[in-house]
Amino acid sequence: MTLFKGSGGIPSRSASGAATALTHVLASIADLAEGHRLGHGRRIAWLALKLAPLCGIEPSEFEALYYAGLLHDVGELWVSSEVFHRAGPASRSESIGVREHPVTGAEFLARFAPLPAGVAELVRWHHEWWDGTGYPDQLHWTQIPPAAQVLRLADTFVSSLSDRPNRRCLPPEDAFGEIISGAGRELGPQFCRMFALLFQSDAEVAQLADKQNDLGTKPGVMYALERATPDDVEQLMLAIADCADARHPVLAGHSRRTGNLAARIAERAGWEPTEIDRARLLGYVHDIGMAAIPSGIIAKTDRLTSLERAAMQRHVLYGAEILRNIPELEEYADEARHHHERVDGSGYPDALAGPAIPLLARLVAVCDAYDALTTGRPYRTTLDSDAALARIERDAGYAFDPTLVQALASSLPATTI
Amino acid sequence: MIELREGKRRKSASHLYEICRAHDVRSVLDPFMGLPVHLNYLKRKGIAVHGADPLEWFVRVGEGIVVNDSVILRDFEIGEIVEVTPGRIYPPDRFRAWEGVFFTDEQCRYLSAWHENVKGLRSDGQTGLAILGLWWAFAYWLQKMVCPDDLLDVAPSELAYAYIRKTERWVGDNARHNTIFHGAPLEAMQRVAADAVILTAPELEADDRSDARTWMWEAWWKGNPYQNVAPHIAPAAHAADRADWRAAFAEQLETARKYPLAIVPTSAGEREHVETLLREYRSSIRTREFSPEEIYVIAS
Repeated sequence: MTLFKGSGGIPSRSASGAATALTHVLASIADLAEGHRLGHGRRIAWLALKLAPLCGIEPSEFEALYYAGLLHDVGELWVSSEVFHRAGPASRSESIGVREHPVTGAEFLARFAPLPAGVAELVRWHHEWWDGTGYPDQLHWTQIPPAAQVLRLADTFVSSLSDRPNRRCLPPEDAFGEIISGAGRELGPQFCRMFALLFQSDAEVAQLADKQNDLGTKPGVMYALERATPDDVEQLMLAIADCADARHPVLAGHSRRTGNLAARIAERAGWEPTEIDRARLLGYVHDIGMAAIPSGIIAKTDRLTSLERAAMQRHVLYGAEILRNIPELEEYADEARHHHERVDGSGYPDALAGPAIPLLARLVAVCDAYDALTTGRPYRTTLDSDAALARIERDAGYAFDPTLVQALASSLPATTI
Repeated sequence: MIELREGKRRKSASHLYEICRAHDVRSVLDPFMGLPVHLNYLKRKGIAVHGADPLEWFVRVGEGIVVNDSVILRDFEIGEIVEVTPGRIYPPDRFRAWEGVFFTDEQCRYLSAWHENVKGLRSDGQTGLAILGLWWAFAYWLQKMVCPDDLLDVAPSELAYAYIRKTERWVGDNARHNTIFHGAPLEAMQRVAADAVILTAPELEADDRSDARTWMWEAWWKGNPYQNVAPHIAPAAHAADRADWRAAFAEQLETARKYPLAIVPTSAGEREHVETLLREYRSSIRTREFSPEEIYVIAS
C-alpha cells in the first residue's frame, strides 16, 4: 500500500485513514482500562447511532456521537484500575477518581483537532443523570444535551450486557429492564421509550454483546476523520504512547522513549525511512495492552506471584488483539505480541527463538529493557546508562539479539531521549 | 398541569472549575447560587466557596453540602425521615391543596410526614442533606405526573431512602472555611471577600423561565402550599425591560467591583448585552464559550 508522506509507519493512503485507525486504537485502550472486553466503545457507538435518529438528534451530531461512544471512557486510564478488578464497593478515594474520569477524558480529547466538534463535551457529560444526581456537573433534565443522554443510555445498556472482572453480565431482557427502571432517574423518560421501541423492533440490539468487528463497517456508521493532517497523526501516536503508560506514574513516558530510541537505532543502522517509522510506531504501541493490567500489579514492589506474573504477561496478548482488529495496524500485531520473547526461546508468550522473533520485536525488546533499567521500576532501583548497557550486553545472545545490542551501544553516546 | 421548564443558561461545575484554575482562584462567591451543586464541586476541588440565595431551601441544602464537612445521615436516621412514623400525628391537610393537581393523596401524606420529620432534625448538615434527597424524590413524582407511563412506580419511602442515601457522597472536607448566606445577593457581596464572584445577569420577565419546581419546594419547606415566593426573588434577578435589566445588572457590577475577577455565565443571545455593560466596569474582558447555552464572560 502506498504510504502518504508523514504516515509515521501506518500503511494508510491518507492522514485521515491513519488518524481514524489510531483513534480506534485509543478506543480499544479505553475499553481495557475499565475492564471491558474489546469493542465495548464500538458497541456503544453503534447503539447510540441507532437511537440518535429516534431521539431527534440532528444528523450533524452523529459523527461526534460516534466518536464520543468510542472514546467515552478514555479518562479511566488515569484512574486506579483496582476498582474495576475486584468485587465490592469503591473506596472514597477510588470513587473520587472514578467521578473525575469524564472531565479527565474530555480534557484529553479536547486536544485533538481532527475529532468532530462536541466530542469532548459529550464525553464530559456521559455520566450525568436525568434527575441531577450524576457527575461531574450534576446537570439535570433538559440541561443535559440530548446526545449526551443517548450516550448515557447506550453506555448503561451495553455495560449491563458485558462481563467485567467485578460484575456479572445480564441477559438482554434484564439489561432492557435496567433501562426501563432507570427512566426518570438515570435516564430521560422519552429516550427510554425510544429505546424500548428499538429493542422490540431490532433483534440486533439484543445480540449486541456478541458483536465487535462487524459493527464498524456498516454504512453510515463509520466516520473517517477527514480533517486530519500528518501533524494530527503524530499527535495521536504520542497520545497513544502516553495512554499505554498511564496505568502507573513510574511508566510515564516509557513508550515515547522506547519508540524514539528504536527509531534512533534504526536510523543509525541505515534502515529505510519507512522501517524507521515502523520502529518508532511499534515502540509507541508495544505496551498498549498494559491498560488491561490492574495498577496494583504494576505498582507491586514485592515479587509477583505466579498468578500476578501470568496476568502481567497477558499485556502482550491484549496489545496484539487490539492491533489485529484494526486493518491499518494489523501488521504490527505479531510484532507487539513478541516483544517479550527472548532469543534463547525462554520468553513469552510463544517461546519463539532467534530469527523466528520478528526483527522489529527484537529491536523494541532491547529498547524496552534499556528504558526500563534506566528509569526504574517499583521493584528495583534505577541504573545509569552504562550500567544498564552492561546489563543488556550481559544478556546478549540469551535475551537479546546481539546485533541489535551492538546497535544500541553505538547509538547511545549521541542519543538524546 | 405544571410546566417543567428549564433555564436558558447552563452553569457547569467542571467548566467553572477550569476557569477558576486558569485564573488561580482560591475562593469564590456565588451570590445567586440556586441549588449549590456547583459550589459543592468547587469545594471538593479545594476552593473556599461562599454562596447566597433568597430561597431558604437552597440555603439549607448549602448547609448540607457546602458548609457541612463531615455529618451524614445513617441508615436508621434516613428511615426515621422517610417513613410515616406509627403513632405520630401529622397535620393531614398540610399539602392537601396539591392533591389531585400535582400529587396523589398518598404522596400528599408523605410530603406532610417528610416535612414534619425533617423539621425535627437538629443538625443543619443533616437537614440540608435530607432536603436535597427529598427534592429529588419530589422532582421524580412531578416528572412521573408529566409522563406517567414512562416512570416506574416506586414506594415513596423507598424512593426517598434511595435518594437521601446518595447524599452521603456529597459530603467532604476541603480544609477551607465555606459559608452560605440566606439573603439578597447584593448584601452577600457586601459581606464576603473572595478572589472571584459569579454574577448572574437578570432575566427579562418576557424570557422568565423560572422553574415551578423550585418555588414549590420552597413552599414545601415552609409548610405552606400557598406560599408566594415573589417577595423572596431578588430584584436584581429579574427585569421588566432592557432599561430595567441594565439598571439591575449595573447595580450588581458596581457592588462587585471589589472582586478581582467576575465570572458571568450567559448565553449566545445575551452575550453582547452582558459584554457591553461589563466593559463599563472592567478593563479586561475574555470569553470562554463551551456551547451557545454555556458561555462565560470573565472580567478582571
